[in-house]
Amino acid sequence: LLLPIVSVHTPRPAGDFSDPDALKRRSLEELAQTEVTTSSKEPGRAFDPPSAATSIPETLRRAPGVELAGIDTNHSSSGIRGIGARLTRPAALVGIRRTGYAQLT
Amino acid sequence: VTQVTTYVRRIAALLFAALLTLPIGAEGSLEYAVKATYLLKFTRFVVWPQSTMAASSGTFNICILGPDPFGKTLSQVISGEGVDGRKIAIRRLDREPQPGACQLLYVGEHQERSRIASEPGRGVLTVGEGTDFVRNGGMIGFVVENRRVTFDINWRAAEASGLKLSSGLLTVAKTVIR
Repeated sequence: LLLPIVSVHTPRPAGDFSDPDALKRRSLEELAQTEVTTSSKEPGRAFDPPSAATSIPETLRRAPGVELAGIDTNHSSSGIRGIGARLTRPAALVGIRRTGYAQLT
Repeated sequence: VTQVTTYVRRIAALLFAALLTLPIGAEGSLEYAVKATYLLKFTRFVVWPQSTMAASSGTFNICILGPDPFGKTLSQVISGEGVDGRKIAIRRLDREPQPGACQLLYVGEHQERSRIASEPGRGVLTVGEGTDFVRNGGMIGFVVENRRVTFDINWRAAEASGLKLSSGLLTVAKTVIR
């Protein structure tokens, strides 16, 4: 469950090439291979997730195999790979985690 | 003592919050740091005609037409560098350069960019943005693709201007117009 939340933080490109001297040491070919933007393809801020997901349910909806449907504001129906649960909001998340672990075994 | 602790905690929290809102690595400027480095590298792969080198006032001039997108990075990159024994200088322009004033002209946002890029005068290497830049007569156009900065070259335009581009430059280019 924590994985999608962790991935919300934009990773920095490998190596710090913002140092002019480090860039100057690179050849033309190496410059052409230097990544200048992150996966979001736009310069980002720490709290702007690359996938544009802004909440935990939103992140879960985008995760493969996870079904999440709101019934009303306090009840949501959630499921991972076909195993569903209809629960109140706090319990829904716990439920998803349990089902998730169950799937791993 | 508790009040002091609370105060310190509040400041720490504020600093932390400020830190989180900083752009990560300022990728926008990394793009232009790479482009600024390219500008310097290009000078190592191009031979300027003797006449244009003689016309300049002892320095090798990189001119920026329009708003400067490089910020401090270009001056950091060219610091201590030279071309043919001449110190590199940066000239920021808001109008078309005088003949012989620039050896390398970066054509940024400018209402007459197309016209200036296509007829820069003899021995002026023109660099701009996008694939259209070289199609419209510019010589080197930066292209951002797959998160990387590459460039297209209009070899024909460079030759017509008396510039010799080395094969090392042409092989790295994404597209070369001959």
